[in-house]
Amino acid sequence: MEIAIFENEFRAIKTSFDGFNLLYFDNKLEYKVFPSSQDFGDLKNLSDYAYVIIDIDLSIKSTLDGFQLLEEMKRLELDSMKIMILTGHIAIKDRLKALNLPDYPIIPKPISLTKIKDAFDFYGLSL
Amino acid sequence: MSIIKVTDSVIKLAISILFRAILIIYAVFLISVYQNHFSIYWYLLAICIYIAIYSSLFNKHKLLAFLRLVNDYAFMGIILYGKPLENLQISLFLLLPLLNNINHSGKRKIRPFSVRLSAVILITHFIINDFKFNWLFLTSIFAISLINSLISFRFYLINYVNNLYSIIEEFYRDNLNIGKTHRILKEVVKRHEQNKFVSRWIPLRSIILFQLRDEKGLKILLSSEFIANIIIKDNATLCETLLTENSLSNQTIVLDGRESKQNLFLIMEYKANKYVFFVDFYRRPPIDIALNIYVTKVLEPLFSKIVQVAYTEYQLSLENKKYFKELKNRMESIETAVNAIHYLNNKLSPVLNYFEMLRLLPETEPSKVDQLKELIETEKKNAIDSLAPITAKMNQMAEKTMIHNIISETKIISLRKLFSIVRNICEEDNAIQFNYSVEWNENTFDKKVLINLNLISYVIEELIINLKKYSTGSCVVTFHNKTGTSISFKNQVKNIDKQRAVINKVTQDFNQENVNEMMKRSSTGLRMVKQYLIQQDIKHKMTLLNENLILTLTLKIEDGNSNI
Repeated sequence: MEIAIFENEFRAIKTSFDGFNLLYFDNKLEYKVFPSSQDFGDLKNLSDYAYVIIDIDLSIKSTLDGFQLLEEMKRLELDSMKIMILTGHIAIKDRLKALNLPDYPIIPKPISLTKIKDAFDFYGLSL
Repeated sequence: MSIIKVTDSVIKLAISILFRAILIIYAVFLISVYQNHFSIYWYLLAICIYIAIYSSLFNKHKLLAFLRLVNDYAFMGIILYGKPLENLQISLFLLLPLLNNINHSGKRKIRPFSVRLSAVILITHFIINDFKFNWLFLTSIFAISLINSLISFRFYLINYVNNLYSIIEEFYRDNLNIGKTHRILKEVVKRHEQNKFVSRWIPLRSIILFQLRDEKGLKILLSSEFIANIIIKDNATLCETLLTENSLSNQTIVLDGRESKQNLFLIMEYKANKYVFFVDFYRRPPIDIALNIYVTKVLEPLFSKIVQVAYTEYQLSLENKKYFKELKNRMESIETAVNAIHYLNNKLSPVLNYFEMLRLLPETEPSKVDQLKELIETEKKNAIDSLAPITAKMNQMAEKTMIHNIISETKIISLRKLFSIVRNICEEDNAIQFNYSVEWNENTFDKKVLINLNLISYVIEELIINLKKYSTGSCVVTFHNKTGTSISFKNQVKNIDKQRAVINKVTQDFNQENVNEMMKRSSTGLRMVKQYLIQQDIKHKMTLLNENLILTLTLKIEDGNSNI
């Protein structure tokens, strides 16, 4: 199962994902990390992934920031995918509502494997 | 309507009443001196009816104003009937309304040669002169009308000038109109053009106000019409000349592609700034002397007022810039803090995850324990590596807060000004009743302090907010002179027994010499107040004395000139 992760500082949280993958997915998850939106290429191919995790505060080098990425996915009718938001801003849900986006689960920073699990539970944690 | 016009209307109404009083007195004089055709009772009745009709037509306009005139002449006709009209005193009575025509209180435009009035006079004269027409009487009417024309012309010009001058008063009356000062010049040109007589002799087209700067030349400030592009032939020479002359005329200038050759530059100084009014004409004014009079008696006084308006507007814009600059500094501080939080969130993740994995280790499936232990070791190393940057960032943030200079600009002001600021702020507060004890005398009020005006207002407001928390609702503000120049706020504390411990803590914090110690425990507002007072070198002390919380600010007096 593949997960697309849009995060420009993945190094700091890699072990959290490794621990989560080990304990809850028997290391069967494969995550591909994209530091910026343009690194992914054609966003239509996101449909190939089981989950998409997006850091709302993507680097300024990214063409699309987190919100713009979500809006683009909505435009491509990919907004019903299993999407999770990585963020340190608690008030993000209001912004999602204002943009008429679904209520995606939040993985709040600083993250741990437990917080990743809580977000996956939203979609029914399973292999 | 401007104040001048309103006043003039009121005066005209008063004159209307006085004029009728003069008519009645004159009539009584004629009745007493000359032989009368009717008995005295008819004349008394006529006077009563005249007054009654006049009262009902008072301050009326159009047709009713004409009826008022008819009423006057009907009354005069009765008084004069049967009397010798060739007598000067008697015929003068008939001409009195003509003399008073210039004070007509109706809304219609005053016509010095009033056909209607002349007709009424002639008809009345004809009737009381045994239905005979007297050509010589017509001459009198003509002569007086001619004199009235001259008076009317004088009022016409005065009215024109008042109309221009009232623009500034009306401009500020209508919702301040800040940022729209260009409308003043537009209105000047518009009102000038509405006056057909003056605009024929002075064919004014447009007005532009420039500021003349020493090295940068002319800067456009206001214009009666929008001008995108101004090209001045020999710009440098012109600017040099403008620096030394009071006026220049007929320079070649191109305004948005249109060449202006008939024009005038008027130079004015205000608050050490040089301003130049450029007046463009449609064509050369036909009479030079008329133009000179117009420039010196109308334009220069008007422009000197407009310059003051432009200067005030400029000062307001400078204040706005300062405000936004300070706002920007605050926003930058917030942004720095947000970025720091984001940084710390990322760096803390390994620390948090390390402990999470340690917690989960005992309940992990045996087959996964070894792998988990490897991850724990990795994360332990990551967490340790994170601690140094986290600490460094936090220290950096703490240092920025400690040395933050909150004062951006100060100026020297008099204690008179400071007194006004303190009192105004206190008076704005509705929750506390302030009483004042003023030991400062005239000499004290002339003394100077160095202060940031915006922040001192904030400081006083913040101090009052904090005093209010513990107040019974009354506070005495004393401006001391005896032991140094100081201001104290003595506030009666409510529920002193319950509040004593809290207030002691607040005063202890506030009186700390080390502002960093205070910052750990006090509110943001009081911390800023403390920082400001320290940076401004204003000694401050809070004490709890019996039931009173007293805050004293001792001012540092400066040598220097204040213009406030």
